[in-house]
Amino acid sequence: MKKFKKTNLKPCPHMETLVSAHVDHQLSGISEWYTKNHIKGCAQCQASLPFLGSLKDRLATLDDSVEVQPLSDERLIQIEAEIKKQS
Amino acid sequence: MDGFNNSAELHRRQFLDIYKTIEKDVVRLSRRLCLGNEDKAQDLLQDAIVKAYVASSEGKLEKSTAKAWFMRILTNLFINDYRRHKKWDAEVDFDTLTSFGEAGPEASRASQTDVPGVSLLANTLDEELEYALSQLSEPLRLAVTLVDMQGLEYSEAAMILGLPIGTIRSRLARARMQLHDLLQDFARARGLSQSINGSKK
Repeated sequence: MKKFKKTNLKPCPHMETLVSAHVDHQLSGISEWYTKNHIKGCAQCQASLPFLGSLKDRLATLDDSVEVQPLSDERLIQIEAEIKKQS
Repeated sequence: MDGFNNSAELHRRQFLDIYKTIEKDVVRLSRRLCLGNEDKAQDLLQDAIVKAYVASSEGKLEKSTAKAWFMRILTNLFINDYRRHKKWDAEVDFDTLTSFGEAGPEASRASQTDVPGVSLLANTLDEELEYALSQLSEPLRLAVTLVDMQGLEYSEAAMILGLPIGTIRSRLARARMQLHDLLQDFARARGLSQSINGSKK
């Protein structure tokens, strides 16, 4: 019987915010330079990148399989009436 | 009088044209904010459309910024009116939010499944991910919803929520770390149950 091995896929605690923002390409200047350099020399932060990237991809497509229902005709009539009232 | 009617009609058409281009995104955001409750999501959307229409008649609507602008109205309406005044009891409707029991999209498990970070997500069910999201506090869930699910920039999410960009950045990081822990717990529970059932792993 194989046991589930819990793997830490999180960045170093002091780097969590920077590595998370790095995955979003939201860093610039010295913070970007510092983060890239840290990741280059840190196995733990390197190991966190695939998880953070996959999480982002997965969340971005989570709603794709759910059909978007536009507002019903009844709702549109209510909206029209409300707008006329406020105009 | 005709001139007034014509200009009102023109404004109405312009508004609807712009709304149609962002409808899919705002319907999804409304449903997310209302935790999958379709009726409440439509109520919220209806109120937001009326509010946006009235505001746009004061010249505030531009096509290029319409999505973030409308999402701001929608989110503020949710935060200030719906949640604060307890117009509804928040219970997550997982059926509406996701197709029950389906694993992640093909793209997320197409390759590199031997990489731990990728395989964890590839083996996570939509239902589990939805549950993990529902466990986040509302400020963290809002940041994830706007940035990761709606694809907004940090600056746009900051504008919508009226927060500094640094706060969005730190909330996202905290949310992701919490999601990591929750998904690990699911994976562990699944691994144990699979072992007990004598199936794979």
